[in-house]
Amino acid sequence: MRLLTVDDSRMIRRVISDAAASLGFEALEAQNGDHAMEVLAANHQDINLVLLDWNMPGPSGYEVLQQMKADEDLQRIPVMMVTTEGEPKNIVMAIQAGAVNYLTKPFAQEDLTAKILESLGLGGA
Amino acid sequence: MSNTDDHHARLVESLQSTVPEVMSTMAFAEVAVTGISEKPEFCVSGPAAGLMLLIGERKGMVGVSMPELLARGAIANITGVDPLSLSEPDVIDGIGELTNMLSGGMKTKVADPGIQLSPPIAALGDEYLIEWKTGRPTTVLELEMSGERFTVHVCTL
Repeated sequence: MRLLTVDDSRMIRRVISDAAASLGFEALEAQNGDHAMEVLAANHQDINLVLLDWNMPGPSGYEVLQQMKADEDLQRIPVMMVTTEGEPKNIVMAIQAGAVNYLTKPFAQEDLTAKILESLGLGGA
Repeated sequence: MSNTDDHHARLVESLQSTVPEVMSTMAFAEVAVTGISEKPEFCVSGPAAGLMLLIGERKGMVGVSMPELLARGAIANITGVDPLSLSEPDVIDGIGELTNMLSGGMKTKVADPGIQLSPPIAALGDEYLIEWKTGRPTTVLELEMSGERFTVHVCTL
């Protein structure tokens, strides 16, 4: 399995990549939305899950989600939001826009790995 | 109590639980609020400092100030990297993200649509003072983590 983690924080990208490695998955990283779209364009056939921050320089994670769901090559890739935006209205917005899961920061390591597996259809709720 | 004073009080109250939650969840560190004080101005010093502006209808600033080793320790706990092997860019990045999480948690708890947050600002250095000349008082939360003291500052306009 290959994940793409999109976050402007190097620390968060490292935490998510390490969690992916602990599950035996490979992780690609992007530091913003524009970079994420470049990585997706080059690797979309091999990416199984995108973990997407909301607030980043350039396009927001929500805008990236919308772009992905409007793209016939990218729309099949499940997206999980990983963000400090914890208000119910944001969660509803993201799910309605096509996100399959939502994890608010701060998060416990076990919650991150559980939600990754859940988003991939590999684990229970 | 005016609407602004009530809003300020809600921010302070939310931070008293948000800061311990962020640090315990991500950095496996227990945090205790040891005091609350009022200062006449918003003034944050280093060595490690993070700031976020409230840029929506509700305007203000949240700031964090801590010793560099405390910041390194927290980031090391989060990433599993030795604290002294973290580069300065890594520490700056970590301070910014910690400030982001503290402020984001505050925003979620208060649930006021007038609160929008700027991207985080992070600073690291030996001796400096950051002053935001608003003429408005600042509430300072005094906290303790891993035997070290740090502060969180809130100023609302």
